[in-house]
Amino acid sequence: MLAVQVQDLKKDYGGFVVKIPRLELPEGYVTGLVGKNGSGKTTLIRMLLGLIPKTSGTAKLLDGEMGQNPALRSQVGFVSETPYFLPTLTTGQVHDTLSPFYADWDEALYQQMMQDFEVPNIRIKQLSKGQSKIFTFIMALCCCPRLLILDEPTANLDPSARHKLIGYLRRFMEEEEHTVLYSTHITGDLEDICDYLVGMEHGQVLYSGEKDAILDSYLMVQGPVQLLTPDTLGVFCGVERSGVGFTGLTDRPEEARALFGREAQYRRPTIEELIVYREGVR
Amino acid sequence: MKQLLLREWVQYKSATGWSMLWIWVIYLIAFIIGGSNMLFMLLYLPVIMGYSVMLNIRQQGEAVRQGSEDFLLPVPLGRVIRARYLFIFGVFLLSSVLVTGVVAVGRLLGDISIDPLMVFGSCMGINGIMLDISMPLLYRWGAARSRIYMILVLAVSASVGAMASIMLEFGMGQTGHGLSANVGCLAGAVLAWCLSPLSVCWTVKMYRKGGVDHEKKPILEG
Repeated sequence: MLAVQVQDLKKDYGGFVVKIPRLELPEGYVTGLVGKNGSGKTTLIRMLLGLIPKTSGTAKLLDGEMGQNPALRSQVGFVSETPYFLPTLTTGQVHDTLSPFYADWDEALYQQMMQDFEVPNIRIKQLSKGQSKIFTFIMALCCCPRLLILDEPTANLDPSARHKLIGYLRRFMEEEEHTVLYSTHITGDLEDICDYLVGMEHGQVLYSGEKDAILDSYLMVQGPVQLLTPDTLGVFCGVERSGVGFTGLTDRPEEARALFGREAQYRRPTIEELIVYREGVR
Repeated sequence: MKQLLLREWVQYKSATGWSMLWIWVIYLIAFIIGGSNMLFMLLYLPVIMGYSVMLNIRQQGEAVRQGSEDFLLPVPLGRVIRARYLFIFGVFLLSSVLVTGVVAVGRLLGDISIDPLMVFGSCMGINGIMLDISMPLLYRWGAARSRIYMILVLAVSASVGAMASIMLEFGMGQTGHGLSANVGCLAGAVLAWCLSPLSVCWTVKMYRKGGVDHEKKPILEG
């Protein structure tokens, strides 16, 4: 079954367009959504959640479109980049007013997480940015959703809180039917836990598929700068020179190996390197 | 619906509860010191009602700014908005009843000659008009952009209020002429509130059209 199904999706803001002809993400996996600032990740997420109207196309989550299916909303948890609870409410009031709407609300988990993360019962506007983010995560997770959509969930978190949050996420993923769509700039979080990867740039999906398959289709090449000639430069998506050496990303691994032979070193890129070098640093 | 109304109450209480309480405390102190004379009523009551409306709008503006919660609740958006209207109706009704009560006491003491029913009708009518017009605008463009439109709405409401004041000034609410004025004010209020289902539909439509992206700016942070 598919957790996300997008067909001919378009959002036109005039000067900025997000256009995704087709995107399908399977249920039961963690999918990382990566890309530069302004690449359209948040706009895609907002369209999926029905938070903003689409210009055209379809964007289905689980069994249908969020905007047209209120029952579906209890199966989808969302951690936004900026918390969306009323700032004048206390965390306790947010809990009291929202939890009754969810039939599967996990009160024990809520109490445990509030204690674990030491979130105080004060007004939302008095919480630190990190605490707000954690509280939004707790509220999203305790709804017991099938699909969890996270938009920069670990931004502003201290290392300890980040570690705990990833731990809860791992426990959430122990259930087979649970799915996570995880948008972040902290790609280190994704290296271990994500199974699928979607890369966006200028409002379009550049690559999507299994993370390992995507990373294996690229190759990081390191070697002396003398190897870089106008002929060899063309094999790279992006190259960075540093002193006497260079580091480059190529999407033509075999060709690069044949060109540089044993004079260069080769390894699989990380997600961060994929994003950075695809920009074409030269 | 009960849960939605409870949510509205908690949100309202947290955002505006103390402000409203202080307004009434100040009013009661002024009432005790200055008594319930006509001029005081004419000046202060519209201030109270206007402020009550403005507080509601500010509170709604905040809710709109945080809009994601409305769209993510596992209930139809229409029901969320209907609950909001119903709650605001309750708040306005309570404010109007309190104001009418004060006028009724003043009349009993012989300080005021205004008919309380006329005051009640005026208060509810003005609030009904403001709500019917302001909510769709607010939910389409958000608190910041709809400010310009709100000035127009306030102007319309102020005109209606001024007309009511003139009617009061000329003593139409007094015995003998009161019946037609009372009926007019109450009929206006009923009409304004009968039109609110249309306003609800308009608001839901506007809210869906704008989504949480009221300011029409692209979300580029991601």
